[in-house]
Amino acid sequence: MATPGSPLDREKSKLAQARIAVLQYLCLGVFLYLVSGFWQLQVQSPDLYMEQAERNRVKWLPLLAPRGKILDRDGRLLADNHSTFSVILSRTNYDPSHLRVIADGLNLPYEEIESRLRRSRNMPEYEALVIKNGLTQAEVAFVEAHHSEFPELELIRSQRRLYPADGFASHLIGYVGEVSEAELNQPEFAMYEPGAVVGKAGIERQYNDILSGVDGRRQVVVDSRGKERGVIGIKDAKPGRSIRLTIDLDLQTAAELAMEGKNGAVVALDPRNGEVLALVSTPNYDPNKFAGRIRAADWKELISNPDHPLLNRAIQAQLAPGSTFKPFVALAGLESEAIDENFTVHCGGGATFYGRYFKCHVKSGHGAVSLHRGIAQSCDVYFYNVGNRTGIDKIAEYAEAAGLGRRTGIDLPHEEEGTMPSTKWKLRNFRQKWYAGETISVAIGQGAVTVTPIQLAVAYGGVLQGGVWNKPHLVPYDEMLELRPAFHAEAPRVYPISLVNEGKIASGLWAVVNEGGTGVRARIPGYDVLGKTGSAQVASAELAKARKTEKELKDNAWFMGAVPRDNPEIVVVALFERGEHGMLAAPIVRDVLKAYLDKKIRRQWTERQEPPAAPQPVVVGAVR
Amino acid sequence: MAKHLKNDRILFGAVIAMVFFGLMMVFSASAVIAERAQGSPYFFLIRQGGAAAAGLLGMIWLMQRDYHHFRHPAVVFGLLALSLTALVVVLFVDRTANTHRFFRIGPFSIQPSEFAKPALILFLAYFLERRARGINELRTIGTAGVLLAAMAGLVLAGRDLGTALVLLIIGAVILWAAGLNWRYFAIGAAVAVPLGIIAVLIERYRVDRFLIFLDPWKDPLGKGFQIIQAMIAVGTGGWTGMGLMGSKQKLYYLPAPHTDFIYAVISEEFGLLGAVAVLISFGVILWRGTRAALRAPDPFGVYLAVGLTAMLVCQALINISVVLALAPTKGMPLPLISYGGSSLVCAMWGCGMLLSVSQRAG
Amino acid sequence: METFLARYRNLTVLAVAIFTQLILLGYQIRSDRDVRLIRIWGVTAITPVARVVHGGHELVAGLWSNYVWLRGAQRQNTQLRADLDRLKLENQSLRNALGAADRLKVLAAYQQNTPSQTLVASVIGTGANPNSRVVFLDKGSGSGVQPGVAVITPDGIVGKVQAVFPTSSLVLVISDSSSAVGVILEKSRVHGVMKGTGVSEARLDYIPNEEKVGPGEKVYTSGEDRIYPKGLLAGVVARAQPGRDFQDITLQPGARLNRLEEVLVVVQGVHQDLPDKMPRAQAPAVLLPSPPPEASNPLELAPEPQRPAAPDGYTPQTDADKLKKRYRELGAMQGHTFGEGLPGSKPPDFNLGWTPPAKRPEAQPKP
Repeated sequence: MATPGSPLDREKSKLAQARIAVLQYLCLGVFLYLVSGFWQLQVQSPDLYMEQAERNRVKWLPLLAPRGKILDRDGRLLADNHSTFSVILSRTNYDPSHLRVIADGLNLPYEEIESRLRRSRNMPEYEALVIKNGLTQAEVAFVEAHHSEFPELELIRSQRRLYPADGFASHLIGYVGEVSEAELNQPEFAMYEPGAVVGKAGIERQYNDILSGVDGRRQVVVDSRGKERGVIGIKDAKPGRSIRLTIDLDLQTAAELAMEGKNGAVVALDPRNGEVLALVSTPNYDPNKFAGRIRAADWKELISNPDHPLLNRAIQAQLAPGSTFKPFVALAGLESEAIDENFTVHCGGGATFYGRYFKCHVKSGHGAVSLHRGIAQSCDVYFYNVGNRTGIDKIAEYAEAAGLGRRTGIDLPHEEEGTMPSTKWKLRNFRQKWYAGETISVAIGQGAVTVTPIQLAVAYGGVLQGGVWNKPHLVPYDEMLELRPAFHAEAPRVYPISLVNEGKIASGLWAVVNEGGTGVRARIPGYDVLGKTGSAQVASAELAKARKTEKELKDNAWFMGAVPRDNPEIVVVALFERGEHGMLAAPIVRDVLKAYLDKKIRRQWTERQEPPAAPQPVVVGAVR
Repeated sequence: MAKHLKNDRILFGAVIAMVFFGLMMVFSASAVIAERAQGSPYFFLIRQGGAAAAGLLGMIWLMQRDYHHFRHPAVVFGLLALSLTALVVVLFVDRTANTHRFFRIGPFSIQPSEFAKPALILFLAYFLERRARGINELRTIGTAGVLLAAMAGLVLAGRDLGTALVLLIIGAVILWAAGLNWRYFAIGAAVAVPLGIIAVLIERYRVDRFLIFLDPWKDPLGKGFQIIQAMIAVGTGGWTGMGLMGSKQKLYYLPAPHTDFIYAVISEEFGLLGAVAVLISFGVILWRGTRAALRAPDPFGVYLAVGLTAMLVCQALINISVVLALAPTKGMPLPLISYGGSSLVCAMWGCGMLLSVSQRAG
Repeated sequence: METFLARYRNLTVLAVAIFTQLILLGYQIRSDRDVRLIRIWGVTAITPVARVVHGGHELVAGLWSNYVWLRGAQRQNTQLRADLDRLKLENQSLRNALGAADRLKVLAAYQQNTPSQTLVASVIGTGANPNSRVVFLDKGSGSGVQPGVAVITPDGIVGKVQAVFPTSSLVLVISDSSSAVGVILEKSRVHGVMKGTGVSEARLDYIPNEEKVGPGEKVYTSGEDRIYPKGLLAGVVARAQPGRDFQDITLQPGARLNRLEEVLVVVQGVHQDLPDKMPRAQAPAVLLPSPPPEASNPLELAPEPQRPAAPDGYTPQTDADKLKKRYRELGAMQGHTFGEGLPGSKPPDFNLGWTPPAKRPEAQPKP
């Protein structure tokens, strides 16, 4: 044990002191080494470190996922993508004083960039913000040429939506656009960030979750001049899935062409399974204009257009069905036994009910009218009597069973309901008693009753199936099962209708087209086409007088066509706004039916040639 | 002799200031990461605060005690055995980020290699004092060398080259102060350097780190990324820095901003002033530590003070060198400042012992 | 005592070292214009020296007609030179215009042409960093040079001013790998972006593969980059070959970027009208869509899941567009107006001209 104080220890302690001093110097040397490190880092080569330091940054660049395509039932393209450029702003190293120049160069209002930045405050800062999609060549040149000034800007290739030209099927397909602030607050769009492109209408909106993929991102290091120096990590984009629709492009094309220059809508569907084969609404709009950001002028024009091009008339136009409603009145009369097959009325051009005179559309009258002739000639007086005997509540019961005055549940956003009046309806909505006189107007599809084209198509289809109404849909059920495994097809709605009565109605509808009825223009030689015209007054006579234009006074023309006579495979409803008379809507339906029939022939020819085990995907219940 | 007990206020004040500054910096550097990864920006701050409290209590207790109490063989060998056992056991217990360094006890994780350092210092101080007359005898050197090699080897087996290095340096410093003939250092170096090279070569990542140290710009996005980002952090600090919480590098670019690279964040947020202040604080520890060593009444105190000072200062110097890209990257916290409970507690207890020596140094 | 001294010495050395570092770091302070003061001082201090050295070199080498000396002596010469350069520019645009069909229109266009306001400047140095291609000019903010303006020569564009000092400015040359210029091809009028590569040749990007581009075709600035006025010569196509997304085109810049002597700084740029007012005859902005597929089975367009991505510049079409065209033709062939038809009229035949796919010729159906 060392005892302090001994000479040896003192010597030792001296040695220790010297040695500790050496250590001190050693540490001091390291301190100086560190200081020299500082010096080297901060002073000696500022160009190498400081400039790097200022701008050498890691950027997160989004990899935009391509949106799924929209195909028709045969896999033909309805909506595609084509590549464009987007520009993104890195929010970690942007300079607020640059924004005005950037806004100018990108032809964006400065306030817009500002508000975008404000909105994106809650996003992680390293995530870059897409400030403009679908750049023009000039904007690309601007961004490229200012790399050294604005290293915060970055071009990325993105996919722009490509739709058919001239608004073909625009209401059906819908369009995409940048997610709005209001939408961002909805749970449906919670996963999106400002600047994201989402479906805004039609199929694009309805199946946005399937069509839109998940964006990936790339972490890159950029140098002091904004030049990419390398990639640190990549998270691949997950592309959206394509959707095959029930739409048959051949029928859609025929319907689109038939509606050119007319306002209205066409709906074609297969009543056996509810698959919608064509859905047209005119006037339409060019969804390609929405693909990036719509120009203010284009938007204003769409909004202020008196014909309301954005309205999807096929599911949103709620109009009086006119005479197309009559078969449902007849059905109600027959089913409730208010009338029978032999019920006959004399039409002298009009009749008086409850003190009021109701005209027939043929001034001279139809003479003696039976059910068959009543439907074929669309005699108003006959149906006044049928309606009067049946009563509003029976009419409403069967019309509602057919689906009139209620949403069909088609897989498109913003479907309208229509109205089917009844005593209950009046009490509920107006707290008034139903006057029997009102029934007379309803019996010919006027008055309070309003329907949408899709409702009418579904209603006819179900009645002609003997009381089986399939929910109309645009994505085949087998496709839905693939896209959403939890999907369950809805069972068709059934309401018992006597097949005898259904046959009587069908024979009347057949006579409309084939026995010199109102719908002869829909006749297709060689086929038993069923049809029913409708000419519905747009407004009451007083209102019509108040607005003087000729066009306003014209009736809306409806036509329903179906083929074949027994268990129709296709029902087509055309609405021709201000078409004057239902017979003028008949050729529209004929073109669509003919396109269907011709395609069927082509398929048969092809099948006869093909070996029986052709690798054709078999769609249960589909037309093909 | 050391009969009048006078607190070493300078050392105590420096340590307390550094700990509080460290807490602030840990919060600043980790708030964003903590919020994202743990849900609360205070996650790391709270844990570090707990460790600081434990460290402070221990420090004050140790400081009040006469350090001669630690000269008891039971204390020395008990600690040594405990830390050696822990070092062995930890190799089989935990795999964190492909390294074996931690015990997890409930919410706490303990890093035995941190506690190995004071254990080694205590042992060497005790052992060398007993062998004061035979320092250069083979028996002494052999025992010390074997123990040192065993400890360093165990730590190295846990893939912690930095701590192994620190253990070796502490051992060398104490032996040096004890008057070991310089020839033995030459021999030791001749053995350790090839071993060190082998240790480096044996792990691919250490080779990479070393090569990258030589030229970080060769692979600025891959392996040189850490170093370059740290340099950038220091470089952007400038004169007075970006202000507290102002560091950008810590957000996404700097790896481990609240642990190994906290000095880079200090440099970026407080600029040169902050960086130099931290450097000076360690200078103060060096000053007061060596002062205590020089005035210590007995060899045990000398060796203890020298060892503890070496532990704190050499860790700091290595850490800062790494941040300034003057040394190859290795996992090494900045004592008293970096996040890490074991490191903080151990450093503070070490300071407590140092204060105890200092108080009795007159 | 000795150790005390040693201790104080240590502290002194440490203090001195830190103090030195502080001084050195003082240089780090930046001016409010984001340029380090030391850099401004340095450049400002060196500019006159560089100018003198440059001038001396000019005189001794006698390579060039002592422009610098003359400028000091005769302002007129400068004016004439500026006029000459401007005339060269106008002449150049005129020559380009003459290549077009309608000469009268070009003349009219030229009359409206207001050349940009420019400033003569001399190149006094080049950048030291081998990775960046920059030159220093002897005109700075004192002469009205602003950051971001174009620098041109009568032979072609040079670059843009990246930084401005009191008496000099730094120009990022178009051959720098971070430079880009919005350009138009002379013949096809297709817009693209010219990008520097770091070497003497430049790249022309975003030209669709189906555009015809041949060596020797001139490339003019489009003005779209908002830096270079429209209608200046940027370069000449050296090579062109089809690429993955766009053509790989190599350009030879018009200006001799390696031997820049004097240049024009565009103080106030005015787009020259020539590309816009030109007759559009030569400029098919949009290519015709590719012809419809051969009519073995024209109505049943096969699904095309692997359709190649529509190259940019080509008007992309969906199957719906093609089918609509086909149906319209079918209707026209039969004199059928869609959506109309009198009672008793014949419905359209959409199978007209359709033949079943002839996979099994022996099983031909009888239509």
